[in-house]
Amino acid sequence: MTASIRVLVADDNRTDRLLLSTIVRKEGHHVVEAVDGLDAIEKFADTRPQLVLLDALMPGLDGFEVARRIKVAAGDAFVPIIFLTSLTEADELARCLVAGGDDFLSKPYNKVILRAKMIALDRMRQMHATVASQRDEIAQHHARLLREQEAAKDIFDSVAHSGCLNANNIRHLISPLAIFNGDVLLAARNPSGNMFVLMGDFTGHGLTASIGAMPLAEIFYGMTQKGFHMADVLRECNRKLHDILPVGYFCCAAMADFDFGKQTVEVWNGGLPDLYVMRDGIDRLVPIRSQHLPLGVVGTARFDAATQLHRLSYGDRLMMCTDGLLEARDVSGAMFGAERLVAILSGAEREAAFESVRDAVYAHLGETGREDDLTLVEISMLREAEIDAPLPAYQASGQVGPVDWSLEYELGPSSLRIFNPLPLLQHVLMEVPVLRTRGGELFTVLSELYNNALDHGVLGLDSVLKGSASGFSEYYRRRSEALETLNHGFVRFEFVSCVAEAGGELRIRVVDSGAGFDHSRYAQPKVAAANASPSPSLHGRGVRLLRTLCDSVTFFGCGNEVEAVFRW
Amino acid sequence: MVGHETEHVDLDHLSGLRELMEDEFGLLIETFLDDGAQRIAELHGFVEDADALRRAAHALKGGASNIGATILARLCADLEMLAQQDDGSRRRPMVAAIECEFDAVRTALTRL
Repeated sequence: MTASIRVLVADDNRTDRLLLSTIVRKEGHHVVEAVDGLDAIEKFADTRPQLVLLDALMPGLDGFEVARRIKVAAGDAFVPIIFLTSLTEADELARCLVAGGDDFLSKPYNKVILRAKMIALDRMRQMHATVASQRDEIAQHHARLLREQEAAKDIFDSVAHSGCLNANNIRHLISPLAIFNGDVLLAARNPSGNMFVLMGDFTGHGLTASIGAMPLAEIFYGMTQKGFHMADVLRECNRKLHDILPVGYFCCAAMADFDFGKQTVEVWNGGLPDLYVMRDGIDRLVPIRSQHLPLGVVGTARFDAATQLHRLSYGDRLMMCTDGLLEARDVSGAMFGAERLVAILSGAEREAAFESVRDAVYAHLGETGREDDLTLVEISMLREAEIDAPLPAYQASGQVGPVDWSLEYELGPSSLRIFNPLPLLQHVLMEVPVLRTRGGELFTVLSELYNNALDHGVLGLDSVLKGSASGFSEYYRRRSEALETLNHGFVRFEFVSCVAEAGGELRIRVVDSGAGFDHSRYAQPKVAAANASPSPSLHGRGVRLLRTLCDSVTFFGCGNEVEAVFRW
Repeated sequence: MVGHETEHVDLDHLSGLRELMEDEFGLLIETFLDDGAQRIAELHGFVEDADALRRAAHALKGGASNIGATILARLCADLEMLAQQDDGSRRRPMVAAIECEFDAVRTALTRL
């Protein structure tokens, strides 16, 4: 024992007390003496020794009672008590230990034995002190962890569940503790008015499962707002998660792109349970199986963003859920299961499907109270005008932007095959402050012009096919084929913008390498917005739509050149 | 020289004490003899009070064993047990024997 401690020696016998104090002092410790029980208790409170040597049999206050009171006075700290006694009293010895004594020392006092016992007990005392301080540290850490989890949950909620989930065409169920089950639900409109919805289920539990939700949400919202295609968003999400998540961690996900004008939904399912398209009539319930690996598993080269396209009538809807819902267990441990879900969806009316599922799963869970792993969303196809979710607001760089400028941008066949120029061009336009309020219209115009130029111009596809349900998938099949084998052609954008006294104008000209079409019937003055009825299937060149959005739309040459003008 | 005194006090134990106490060895012996005389007086006084008698015998026993007076310690232990059995008749002879032994111890110690 290297450190010297303070020792209380309590014995009413002068001889014994003198002898013991000397032995202890010779060991290098400080001694405090007490002559009886009450004196011992007082001296203990005054000097707070680290060890007490206590005569078991003293006049007045019983040695055992003294020991009890000293232990109480010591509180949380461990102060060993060695009872001083004569060997013959076996019952007394047992009482010593039961009463709170930690050891006993017999008379005649043997300094070797006393030293050994002091070392052993001091070791215990130090261990006790270590454990107590570790316990305090753990309690502090625990309290801090709880606070951090609260803060993380707030951040998580604002990142992972924002967007337009409260739109009138979306109904959803998500746990307030989703941060601990790794589920994520994102929804946003893009500049064209499309609605993207992404549902994710990260592997694992707790904060580590949810941390991937932050970059995922950032990418989703950022790219959607800029007008990127769903496949691009998925690719980038996959790339990011593949980069940052450790091996064995990934995100099962599904994404849907609702186009309210064309009445289509494009879907991708990588690892989530079947998604369900719900319609009226024949083909009521169509499951969309997972055909891809979850996000984050493979690198960009092997990632497959191929989507399925489905036509929906107004009122039809898409339902998605994570496996937490299918694996919800009742009191007996039975799972809710996919069969039960399909039965409910098959039997219910479209409008009642969501509530039916929700009520059924709550009923199934019953008394278990384990409602924290249910993530469910239903998105309905409505008319564009009926949707109450706003289009993205633009956070462009500043109040000052270019006013008189021009830009020419041309894409050759290799680029046309793989690159979508719309977000980039949209970005250029949004740098002009006065155009920001018309961002949605501009993006829609750019999309229409580009798709016309590419599909009908360069690829030479006939839009007539898009009129029927079967023709629809045939059209997209032919488009994929044509795009894959494309080896010549171009699409060129020419922007010219200038400022006038009371306003300005932007001219967008798009030229493609195709054969054009007979545009003579479209050489009409601008159709007043009030007279323009949005074409229900929009499988033509969408000229009417263009004319409602722009101040003028004019075709040139053989129809492979078109100019749209905006004025303000 | 092996004399009567050596049985009353363990000389090896005493030399250990002398080493331990150093300058205070004398004080220790003095304290014991003072204490001891007091305890003997108590024994006489408490001969009718079983509890007090027992405690006094116990106290003297402790001091005796610490100083190395093994016979004295044993006698005190006997009285301690006797006192509990409440046999009043044998107390006085016991106390006398203890006093006798204490005198012998005192003689041996003062001769050191």
